[in-house]
Parts: sequence; structure tokens; C-alpha cells
Amino acid sequence: MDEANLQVLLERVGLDLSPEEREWVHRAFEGYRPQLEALLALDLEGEEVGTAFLPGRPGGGREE
Amino acid sequence: MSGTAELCYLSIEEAGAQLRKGALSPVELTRAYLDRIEALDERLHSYLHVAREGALASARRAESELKRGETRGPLHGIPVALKDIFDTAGVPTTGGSRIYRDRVPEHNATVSARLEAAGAVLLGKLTMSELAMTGPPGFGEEARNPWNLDCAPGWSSSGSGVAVAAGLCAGACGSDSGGSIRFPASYNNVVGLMPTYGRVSRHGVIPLTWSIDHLGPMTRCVEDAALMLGVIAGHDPRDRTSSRAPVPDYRAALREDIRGVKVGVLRQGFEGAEPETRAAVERAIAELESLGAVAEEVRVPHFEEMHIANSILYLSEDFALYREALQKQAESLGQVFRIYTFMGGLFSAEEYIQAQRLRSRTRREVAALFERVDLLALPAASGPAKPIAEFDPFALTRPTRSAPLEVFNLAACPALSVPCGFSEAGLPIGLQLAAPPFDEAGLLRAAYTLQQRLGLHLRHPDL
Repeated sequence: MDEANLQVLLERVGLDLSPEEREWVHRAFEGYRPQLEALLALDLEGEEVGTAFLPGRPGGGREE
Repeated sequence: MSGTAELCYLSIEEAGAQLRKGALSPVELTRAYLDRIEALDERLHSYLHVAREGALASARRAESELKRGETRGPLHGIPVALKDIFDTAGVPTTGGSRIYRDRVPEHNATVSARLEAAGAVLLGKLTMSELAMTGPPGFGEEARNPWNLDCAPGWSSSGSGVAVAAGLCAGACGSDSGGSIRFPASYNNVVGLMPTYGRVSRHGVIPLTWSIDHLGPMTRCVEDAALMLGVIAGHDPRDRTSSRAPVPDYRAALREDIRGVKVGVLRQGFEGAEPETRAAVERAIAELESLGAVAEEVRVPHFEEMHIANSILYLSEDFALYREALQKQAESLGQVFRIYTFMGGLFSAEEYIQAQRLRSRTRREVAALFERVDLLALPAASGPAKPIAEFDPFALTRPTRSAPLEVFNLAACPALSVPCGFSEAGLPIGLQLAAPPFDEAGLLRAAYTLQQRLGLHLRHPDL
């Protein structure tokens, strides 16, 4: 996690994190980083984006 | 076991039969639970709020109705409790967070209303991880595992698992956005069912997410899960994601056997599991085979990426839901919830879209698996409960912990944990089974057949 990125969001949200908590965010993101890279490397061309996957009727999607 | 304990460990089905024939009164049963809560919950901390007077009033009403021969069904006069995210009119509903510490809703959630209409008696609201994330509640004491008070209860429906296992309610409801019903169920030797997305209305429930939250029953036996699901399931126009799929008689479905049922053993779900857990789950699958099921090994593509996809989805949605609370009430939020919610705002749009696409792919790939097999089987947790003192908030970032649970949140299909063994240290182990969307009946039937063979639902913690 880029420190500048972190700072931008902290300012947008108006949140203060202690140095210990910032370290926590960095450490957690280090845990996620290789998984994020693997996810972004997947070829998911053609897959839907959104919640049309939801079951409930043939073909999925919300019901009215 | 004392007389009170015997009453409190009756199944919903057994207690209901006695209530309907007048051999047991709802007031007597409710008092037994309230007494047991008073005696034990000081150590277990499974309740955030006990609704003593309301419970007794409901029990007296049920007693009058039953005496007049008016029966509202299998839950009439049965004392239950709810994870503290279900709105309950006039009863505090806090989500386990200090930001809602004084919140008393005016209206019931659909689940609460359906339980009330079925004549169930609400004993109170149960401890949970703050706003259904993970770890301890935002206020009050952490729930304790009744099998070993030093051990974790399982999150996030922690109090629900503990209260059911300890005989502090006849059944409970929890929520599951990545294992939060199945995980505590496996830690506490209870049955925890996450129904199909849309099967149970989310109206009136404090959300963690919009698109991954599932609500379902947690009970001591499969029959009771079938009975509770039959009451809370079904279309609700106040939840636009609620399904119109008909609700079958889940209890009746348990009478059929499982001969010829094809069980896909999802091998990836065993990776990272501890030896005792692997062995117990393998034995359970062998039992299913001995009962007539046919097992074969299966794999689902992209299993390794499912944890990050589910994490991106629920943390991003959680950030969107609680951004204002982060801005205005940060000091009232617990550290785990505050930091992980904040992290939900750090994922990029590209990552969110890729996670959505993997969800779509997962749904198709799991559906393809269900063309070959009727059920999937794997461990519900990588091992039995660990000491509370070893709680590691960074575990949330590790795929081995949650991917075997989250795959079914992504696929939106039903899954449950059913007791399948105990570790050498005497801690419960759960088998996870999953079924195609809306086949909760098939899922419950297999779990029931296994339960009847193993008999583990009759073991209770020594309190």
C-alpha cells in the first residue's frame, strides 16, 4: 500500500490513524498484495459485472 | 444433567410436541432457559440483551393459545434468540457496535416478524463481532466457547453458536458473508445453515454488505434447522433481492434417504486443514458413502483467488455502508472493524470490477460442478477452535482460512456445517456441505442422514 494513497483516503474520510494502526493497514495490504496481483492476472473476459448473478429466477437477476 | 438442562437441551421438535400436547408449558420452558442464562451466561457472554419480561409475556400468550387448541406451527412456544443484527420492535438492536448502543427499533425485521407470527418466544439478542465483521463485539465481553472457555467462539455469529451449544436457547439465527454462520457452527458442535442468497429476507437487518449477506438458522440438530428455515424463508416484497421460489416442506424432505446422491469432494477445501480436521471430514464422507452416497473428487477453478475476491466485495460494500460512521463516529468503532472498513476504501475500481467478474465466473463454474454432483463436501474450518488470546486480526487476509467458506458466498448457493467429530482436546469439528441454489432440502437431507449415523448432536458441553 502506497503511503500517499493511504494519506489521500485518510483525508477524504477525515480519519486519524495512529502510527501503529497505519502499520496495521500496511501489513494487512501486504497480505492481500500477492492475491490482488493474482486476481488481476486472471482472464475473465466476457464475465458480467454487477449483481445479475443473483439466483431467484431462471437466468438470475432481481425480481420485481 | 439437571432437569433444567434436560428441558433446555430438548430439540425444537421434541419440545414442540410436548407443548402441543400440554405435557410442557411455554412458560415453564421459557423460565428454564431464562434461569439457565442467568446461571451460565456470566461466563459465556453469549447474550448482549436478555428480553426477560417480553419473553415471559410471549410465553404466557403462547400458553393461552395452545390451551385453546390454537397452534401456530412447530415453533409455537419455542424460546429462540437472534444475532443482534435482526431488528426487534422495542428490543435493543445494536449490531454489536457502540455506534448503535442505544438503538431500539420500532419495527421487526422480516425474520423477527415471521418468528413472532409463528409463536416463537424471543429470549434476547446475541453477541456478535462488531457489525458482523470478525473478532470481538464493539462493546461488552467476547462470547466464550462452551467446550473450552479459553477458546474462541467462532465469528461473526459468535453468541448464536455459543447460546445454541450451551442450551441457552432452542435455536438462533445468524448471518453469513464469508462463513459467519458455518464457522461458529463448526466451533460449537451445532448445525449452521447459510441458505441461498435471496431465500431469507434481509429486510430490517443491519447489513455488513448488500450482495453477500445471507441469513439462516443455527440449531442443535438438522431437524430444527429445517423447521426454522421453513418459518423464516420465502418471498418478501420489502427485500428486492428476495426470491419468489416456493418454500418446500424442509422437514418432510428429511425422510428420504441419500442412496445414489453424488457427493463432490472439493479437495482444494482440505488444503491448509489440520490433520485431525481432515481425518474427521474424510470419515464423515466415508460414512455418507456407507449410507449410499457416491463420492468423487472435484475441483473448482480459481479457488485460490476467491478469498481476495470476496474480501474486495464485502470490504468495499462495508466501506460504502459505514463511511459516514468512520467520518463521524470513528472513536466509537472498535479497532478491527474501523481498520478493515477503512481498508475497503483502498481497493481500486479495477480490483472491484475484477472481483465482480470472478463472482460471475464462480457462479457458472460451481453451477457446472452441480451438473455432475448433487452436493459438495469439505471442512467447515481449517481446524477446531483456537485460544481467544491467539486472535489474529491479520488472519482475515489469509486465503486458507476463508476461501473454503467464501466460495459459496460468491456462488450464492446454500451451504451448512454439521458436526462430524471432535479433536483430541475435545473441541468440535464440522463438515461443510453445499448444494445448488434453492436445494436446501437436499442439503438438509444429507446432513440429517449423517447426523443420525454419528449421533454427535447429542453431545453437549460440560458446564
